[in-house]
Amino acid sequence: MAPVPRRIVFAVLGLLTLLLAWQAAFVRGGPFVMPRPADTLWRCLALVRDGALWRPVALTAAHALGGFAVGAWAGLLLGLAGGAWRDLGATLQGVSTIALGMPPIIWIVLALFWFGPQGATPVFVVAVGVAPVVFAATMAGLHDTSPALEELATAFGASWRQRLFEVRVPQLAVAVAPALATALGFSWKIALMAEVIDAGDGIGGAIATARAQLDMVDTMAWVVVALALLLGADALLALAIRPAAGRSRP
Amino acid sequence: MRFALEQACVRLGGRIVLDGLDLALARRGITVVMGLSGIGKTTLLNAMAGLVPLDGGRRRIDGRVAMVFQDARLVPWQSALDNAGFGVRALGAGKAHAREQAAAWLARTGLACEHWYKRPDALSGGMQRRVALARALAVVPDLLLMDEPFTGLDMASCTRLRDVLRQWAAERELAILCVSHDPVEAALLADRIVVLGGAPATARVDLPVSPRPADAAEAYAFAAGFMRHPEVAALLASGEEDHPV
Repeated sequence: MAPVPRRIVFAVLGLLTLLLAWQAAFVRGGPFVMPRPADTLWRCLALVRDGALWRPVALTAAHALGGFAVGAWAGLLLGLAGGAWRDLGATLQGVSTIALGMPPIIWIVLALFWFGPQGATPVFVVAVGVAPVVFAATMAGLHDTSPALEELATAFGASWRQRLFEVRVPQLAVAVAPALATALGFSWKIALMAEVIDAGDGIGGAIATARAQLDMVDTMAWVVVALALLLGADALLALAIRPAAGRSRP
Repeated sequence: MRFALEQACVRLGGRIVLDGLDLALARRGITVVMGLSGIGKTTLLNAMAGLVPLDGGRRRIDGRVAMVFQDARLVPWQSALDNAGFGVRALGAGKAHAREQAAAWLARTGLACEHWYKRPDALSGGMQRRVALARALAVVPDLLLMDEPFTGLDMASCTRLRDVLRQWAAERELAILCVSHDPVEAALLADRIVVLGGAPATARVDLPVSPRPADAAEAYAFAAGFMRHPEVAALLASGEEDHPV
């Protein structure tokens, strides 16, 4: 049997240390500081068994992915338009810089005013967080096109179609893909944050409800579910990006 | 003459690099261009390829042109096979046909098939140069422009690629214009050597490589004689001028 890689051993060690610290916090502080880890894990299993888990998970996923899709498309289209028309690009860049600098919590507060509680706040906040990141990457990708590759296409008399699909779009993809991956990663976190503050539905809504009822076990169970979802999404994203990064178009 | 620059003038960044340059190439044969660094050799190739506009004079090109750049200039996200087929696809061929042509030329330039599906960053410098050469030859050009195509290659690879070029040039009507700094390489490859000089540059020396060296020893002997040619020595060995282009 192959030995377990060293990094996995230490990663597991890290998780065990975290669990021990959690247990220690429960022993020292009591159930109102931290619930017993075992109780929390049993509650998680109960959520799965009762089927209570799936609707909030689906709603949070819809908020994160829906907001991401809207924001990414908007960012990409605005980036392309900004790249095509220099003056428009400069105008949008100013707006984008302000949007990038705005903490998500401010957007959540404003969105609560605009859309009301339990409205479109999570989707909007995710979209408005994603769009400037993708916009900036698209603009940078368009500005950083390689003159050498353009010259290559000219030297071989490449058609506009070949130039677009073999030279320009892949160059843009190289610039935009990491921004999309980063944006998808923080989409889940912003969606959860918006749900908690909005106290609506989704996992964040469930955390807010459990907190309001001072149910620490339920609160931590939903936190564990949220973390599992974030880590799962990150792992899926890494798997999706790895083959694309190492692809040699056989 | 099928390919020619007549009284060509090229201005780059406010400086006149070439002025009144005449160079005509026959339908068949290999011409090597030499000259000090920055004298305008690459500019001459770019002018021949139509990649830089002429500020004066005429460019006469009757046929298909392909270029091997000074850097291998491969498309980073394409495999060696698809890079070698880039020019064939530019001619309007489908992907499958381009790959067939590319595979034949990659084999001819000596790139082992285990490397065909690798991207350029996984290839050595020598392998990248083979792909660049295969890309140019795969379009079956009438004029092949090459900018120091053998730089960084080991001696065996140089010999192989030179043989491929000479053989291919002998098989069909192909004119090759190649930039080089190495007089021995020029002797081994060329039928004719042109030396650029002056600022702005013109073709100052134009010598046939005759008789053709049969082996490396004869090529060294020719190169020694060539470098002793008074005008060549003055143009290549002086080096006091520092040309920024």
